Amino acid sequence: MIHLRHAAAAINEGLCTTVLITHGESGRSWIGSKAMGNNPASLAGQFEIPFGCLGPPTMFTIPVLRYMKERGLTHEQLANVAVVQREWAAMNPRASQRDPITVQDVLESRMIAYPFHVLECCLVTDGGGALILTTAERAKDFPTKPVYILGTGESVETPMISQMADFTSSRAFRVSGAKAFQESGISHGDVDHLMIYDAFAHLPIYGLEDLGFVKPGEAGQFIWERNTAPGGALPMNTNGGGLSYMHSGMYGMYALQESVRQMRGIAPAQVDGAKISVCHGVGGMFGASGTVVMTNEA
Amino acid sequence: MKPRSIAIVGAAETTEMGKIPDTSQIQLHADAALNAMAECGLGPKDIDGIACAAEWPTDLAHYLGITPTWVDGTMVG
Repeated sequence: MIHLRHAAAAINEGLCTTVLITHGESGRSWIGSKAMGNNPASLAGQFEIPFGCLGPPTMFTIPVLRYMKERGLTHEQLANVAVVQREWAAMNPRASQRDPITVQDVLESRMIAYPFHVLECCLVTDGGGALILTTAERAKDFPTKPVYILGTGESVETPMISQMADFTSSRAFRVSGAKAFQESGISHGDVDHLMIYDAFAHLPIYGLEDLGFVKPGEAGQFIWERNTAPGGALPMNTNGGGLSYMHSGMYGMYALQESVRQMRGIAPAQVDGAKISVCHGVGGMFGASGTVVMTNEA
Repeated sequence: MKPRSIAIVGAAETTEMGKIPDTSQIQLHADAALNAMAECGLGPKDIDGIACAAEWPTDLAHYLGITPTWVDGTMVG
């Protein structure tokens, strides 16, 4: 998401004309991957890791438990995020996990770090993706259906989960999302399709609220009422997401690929007549965020 | 940015996805990049900007034969 925003600015400034953005990770097979060491002199290395706060499943428990306490999110509502996304994955031949699951299945699956069961945690797979961007004027000469960028946002908050200003909301999400909506000039009602990076089941809940689709505390029920499910008013994570489609370590590229497929009209679970897609990503554990708004209308 | 000034003309994932034990990480980047270039009829010589996450853009530019005038290695999910 952030590369796309930077690339758009660079092309508009005349720094280059045709940008290639790539991502790929051998997250499962670990062939030729670069080890991400924990530097003991880093902020987390000094102030969090020595106390056992290390790795996504552990770090993400801290905000989600506060969210559950303050907003009344139930275990069933959290588990339901994974259930709905599996419904989308069932329609996608390339999804890693396609078998239907129930809330009960999720709650009875192996506990990883309270409150996360294994089915509420992302997959670990191999894969990659690439995007090519150019000016809208030149895009008309290509054989592919152009997908136009309407607006973008990016921000960061903190590398330490303990230092989030508010555990029930991500500042990086709010800033990035608001910037993208402002740039694109759209309102929430204009959005036909939504991707929110779901490394863990609570992230779409934070995303729906921090991007302003629902009020704080409403997202769990919003998903429970099937608004984001197949046939719902706001189709979300239609490839099955990081929970069921694929997750190689950094998932943002795969969310972008699904937004592009939806705008081209070629997604396996195509949203009929979708004209505007919002794609929102997390970096680290609420450390960073990027948002891209796309359309297929020139 | 100005809305609709920039467009995505190429978008592709790796040919395989899931468990790919015979492909290194930089090959995953290259595979996806070549797939995206092929669908929009471009080659490495047509690319003049490159951004990568999980690999360095310097490595991939060399690997694919790209001579960029703009590079971004921001490393965020």
